[in-house]
Order: sequence, then structure tokens, then C-alpha cells
Amino acid sequence: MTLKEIAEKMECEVIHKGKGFDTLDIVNVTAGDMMSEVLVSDEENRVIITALTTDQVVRTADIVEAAGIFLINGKQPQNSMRNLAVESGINLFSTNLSMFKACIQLGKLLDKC
Amino acid sequence: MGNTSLNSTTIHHNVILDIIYRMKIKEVMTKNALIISPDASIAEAKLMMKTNGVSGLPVVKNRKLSGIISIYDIVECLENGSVNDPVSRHMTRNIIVLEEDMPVSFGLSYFEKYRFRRFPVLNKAKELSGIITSRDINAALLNEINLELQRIDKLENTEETDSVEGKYFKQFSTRKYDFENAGKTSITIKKFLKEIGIPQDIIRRVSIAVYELEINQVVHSNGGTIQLFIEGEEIRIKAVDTGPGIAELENALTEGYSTASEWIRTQGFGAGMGLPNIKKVSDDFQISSDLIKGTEVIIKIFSGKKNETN
Repeated sequence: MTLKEIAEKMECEVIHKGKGFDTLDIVNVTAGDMMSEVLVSDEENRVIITALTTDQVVRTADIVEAAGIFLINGKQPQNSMRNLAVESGINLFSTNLSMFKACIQLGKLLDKC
Repeated sequence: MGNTSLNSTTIHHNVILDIIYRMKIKEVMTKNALIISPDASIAEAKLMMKTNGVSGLPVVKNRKLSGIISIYDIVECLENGSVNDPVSRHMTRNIIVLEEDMPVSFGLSYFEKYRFRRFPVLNKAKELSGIITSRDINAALLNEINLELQRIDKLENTEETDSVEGKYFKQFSTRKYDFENAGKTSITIKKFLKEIGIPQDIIRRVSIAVYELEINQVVHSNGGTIQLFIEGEEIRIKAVDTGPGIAELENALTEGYSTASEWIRTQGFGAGMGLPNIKKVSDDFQISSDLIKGTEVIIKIFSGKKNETN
């Protein structure tokens, strides 16, 4: 499922449309606020769900080749995070859902539960 | 048990603190300050201040400081109609002075403590050698900070490539608490490895290691350098910081052990995964740490070889 389709079906706001927004097939999700843990997880074509709104999330996404970042609890990115996402071509979203509910919604959309 | 809390690094070398302790009042003050004789009139003092755009003058006779006359004293004289009186009658006699060999930090504390706008500075012979305002200190500090930053910048990002031999060298530097830039080296190295055709899974492992090494230097040290060497199949990364070192190396290598502060955790790090992560993605991992000199980590990742532990 593409990020475009996810954005249409999930309760979320598109903050930045980056690389592969309507082409890349997303199949995995990594959720967490500890970037060291996200860093060593190894999955392809994924998005990251997190409550962190710093530059480090974008850098981590870049390194693990995650296509997008979903900020939960209605959080908005810090300005530098938004700028870095634009610069790095990372798709950025914000959802009012909690971590748990965001995981459930994405999990259902991606046929994980 | 050692004591490597982050608090001990917080009070460690701070560039600005260093500067204000290192610099002397005499390097910052205005030398050859304008002076006026105690016998001059208030009207003369007023004219001198107006012509030179200053709001106070040291009153000096035979090189000895006898007081200060400020614009406030003059305003009072104008109100009282005593502009023809000698300066000595209206000057402030009870003055606070600084000595030229005192550190600038002393001057700053005086501006904080006493509400004067300027302090006369005396030399060892107790003669007036200059005058100092907070503006002098600001200007000197800005200038010195600038020089310091230039020195730090010089360390940054040297590159040497010898693509014919398949050898590459790059060097990057990190600064204490510079979270904004932490991770940049990793991204730069990642792009470079892609350009020279290193396999994707190797790039991923190198990037993770470099990222964690950067974060470690930013969080736990006073800054350092990260060097990348490539020679044939061997990718070697050397991270050297300027201390303080790790008190309990065994613990630091254990997953979940962390000395990071709450603030670091809000940045998404400090879970005690740094060194264990680096070890996990490396084919060879060497670490040495000296409490004073700092920490050196050298890792190797072989581009033609799969990581067995991963």
C-alpha cells in the first residue's frame, strides 16, 4: 500500500510528501521513541511511528531507509525536523491517534493484524 | 565504583567560561582613556564628554585616580547652576576599581554586583591604565568566540581520496551537545559509500556504527573526530574524543546500561544501546578509554563479508 493510500485511509495530516509518496509499496512498520532501537531494526519498505519530533528521527529514517515518519498524539514536527524531512525526501505525517491506535490502524491497513 | 554522570561533563570545559577566565582585563579595556583634571570645570567636562561621545570620565592628577565624573553628576550641576565649579567638587570619590591583571570574569562580576557603567583600571603602581565598560567586554568576547569557532572549524571535514588505489580517507568532527549536527557525518558517509558502490547492507551497518559513535561523542565527551578509512575490502572507522573517558567500560558495553541524562532520553537516545549496537554491526571492535584523555573506538567492517552475528 502506498503512503498516498495510507494517508487517505488513516486519520492523519500530510506534512510533507517526500520520495515515493504514491509509488513505494509500504509493507512494514517500526514503532518507538528510542532511535538506537529503530536504528538496528532491519526491515524494508517501512514507516516509523514515533512521538519524537527532533531532527534525529529524520536522520535515523534516512539511515534505515524508512520512507515515512508518523508523529502521534497530534504532535507537530519541530521546524528543523520539517526542513530536514524536506531536504532528505522523507514523507512526514502527523496523526491525532495514540501510539497504540496508530499501530493498530496501520497494522490493519497493511494486513498485519 | 566510578562516577561518570553527565553532570561532571556539564561543568567541564565550556568555551566561553574558558575565555573569560583566560582573558585579562588589560586585553579588553580601552587604553589611553580620556581623562580630566580635578581642576577643570564642570563645563569643560561636559564639553569633553559631548565631543567624544562618552558618559563618564576618570579624574586624574599626576597619574593618580582621584574620582569619576559622570553625566549624572553633570546633569545635577546644570540643575544647580554650578557648571563653573571644579570637577573635584562634584565627582564621585568613592570609586570601585579593577586591576589590569584580573581575569575578565572578575570584571563581569563587578558589572553584576555594582551598577556602574564603567570601571577605571589600575596597573601595579596603582596608576590609571585604562577604563572598561561592558561594551568593551562584549566586543572582546564576541571576537574571541569567533576565533575559537574558527579554530574548531579548521578541524572539520578533511578529505583525502586516492581512488586509483581504492583508498579513501575522510575526517569529520563533533562538538559537545551539538545535537543539531549529530548524525550528519553518518548521512555524509552513507552517501559517499553509495557513490563508490559499496553493497547496501554494508552501508547500513557502517551508517549505524557511525551514527552511534557520533551520538556518543556529542552526549558523553567534549567533542572529537570520526575518521573513515577504506582500503580494499576493509572499511575502518576510528572515533577519538577528547574526554572525559568511560569509568566502567564493562558496563558501557552492556545493553541497557546508560549514564545519559533525562534530557538525552528526550532526544531518543540514552537507552544504553550505543556501544552494544556498534559492536553488533562490526566485524572487529576495539575500544580503549582513559578517564582524562578520552575514548578511542576502532571498528572494522569488511565489505565483502557478511556479519555473522547479525
